[in-house]
Amino acid sequence: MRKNVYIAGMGLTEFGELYERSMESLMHEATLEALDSAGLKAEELDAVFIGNMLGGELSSQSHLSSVLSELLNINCPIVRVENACASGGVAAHLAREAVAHGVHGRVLALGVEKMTDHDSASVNSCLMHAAAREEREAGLSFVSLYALMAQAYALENKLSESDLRTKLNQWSSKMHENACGFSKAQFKKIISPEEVGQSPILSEPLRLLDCSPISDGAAAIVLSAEQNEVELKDSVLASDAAALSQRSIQHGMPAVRRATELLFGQNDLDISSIDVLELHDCFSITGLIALQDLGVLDPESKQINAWGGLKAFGHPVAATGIRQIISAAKTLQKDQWALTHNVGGTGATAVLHLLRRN
Amino acid sequence: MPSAIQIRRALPELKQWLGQEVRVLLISKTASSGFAMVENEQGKRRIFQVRKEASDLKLGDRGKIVLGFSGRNAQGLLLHKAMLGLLDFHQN
Repeated sequence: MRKNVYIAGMGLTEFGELYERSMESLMHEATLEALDSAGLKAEELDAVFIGNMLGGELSSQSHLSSVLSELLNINCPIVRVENACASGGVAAHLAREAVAHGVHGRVLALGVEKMTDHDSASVNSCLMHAAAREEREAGLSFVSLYALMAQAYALENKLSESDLRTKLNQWSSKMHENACGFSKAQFKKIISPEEVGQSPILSEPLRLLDCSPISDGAAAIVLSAEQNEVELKDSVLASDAAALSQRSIQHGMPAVRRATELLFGQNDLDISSIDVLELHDCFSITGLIALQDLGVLDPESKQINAWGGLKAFGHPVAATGIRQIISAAKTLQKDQWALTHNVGGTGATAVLHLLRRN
Repeated sequence: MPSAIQIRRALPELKQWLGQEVRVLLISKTASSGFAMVENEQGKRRIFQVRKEASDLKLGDRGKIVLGFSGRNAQGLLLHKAMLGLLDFHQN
């Protein structure tokens, strides 16, 4: 029989350009904070899943299980999980499954990324490891891939260039406004919709202020079957082709749609039941696509990216999925439902989590 | 940057597109070039870099895949330069 899974503890570092911090120190800080808030000692953990995408490429360290073992002086099973920008969400998914199936009692899910030690050209080149071979060969970057998706979204929804631009401007501006209240956010600066619309074009129709930043940071949660305030009720994972051209549609993400159908189906819910949404807005258009894929028709009725999303809180890629769970858990009020949406690549991996505060 | 052997492996698949008539499904322009998702007559899709000389290319245009070379993209980031055999898109 499956067990209920609860969030016992949470830890989060500041997100941003943290030049004085190493990847190891970030993962250590988030872990210790999560353990402290759970009232646990490191040796009481039964297993750890670490989400990380670029440790090998950017910090010359891909064997993070050994790093954490040394930092905490523990010898339990520790597994590194790599699923591009969904690495954190997938680590949380696996940790939840381990507790739900009774494989382990207390499991840490950690996400960490250290991205700012290198120039942006090198970082973008490494991020493209999450794309398809044909996309790398064509010289694409993720901003151009999402620009193509933005055009497909506008065509599908019969939006003029100006209508699309208005929606993108509003998204970025709102995210910056939301992040202002959070000391750990990367951007705590208001930007107007007009400023977004006047920022330099990177790849039509996307502009500089449509993009989430390159960030450092770590996030961790401790999961357990012991009853607690916030339940990690369910988690669903789906995948798709890496190449955008090989998908059934380009204006949305079929993997997200598949995961959404499964998640709502197995919990007898629909989108109208969800009060709090944490959406993976690596670009402003990704936020709009997420609303469409999840079937959100009345975004004003929900709390969306209350901490500013990836766009303004920051996007240390593998930390994001776990940061979203923390944001959702802390935003949730009693008897409310939250859903987190974390994707890898242009939607080749999709992982959704369902949370409830009892 | 792809290695020489990776380029060599990619060439046969790329060469199949050479000279094919395609239609532009999606296009995004950057400061230096752009990218287009195209579909051939058999319904096969792929994304190609668009050369600066074809900057007036638009949705629905039909054209032919020709041999060319890539450069820097709009962010000034060198992702892959002058990959041998990279195919560009030129309007008829």
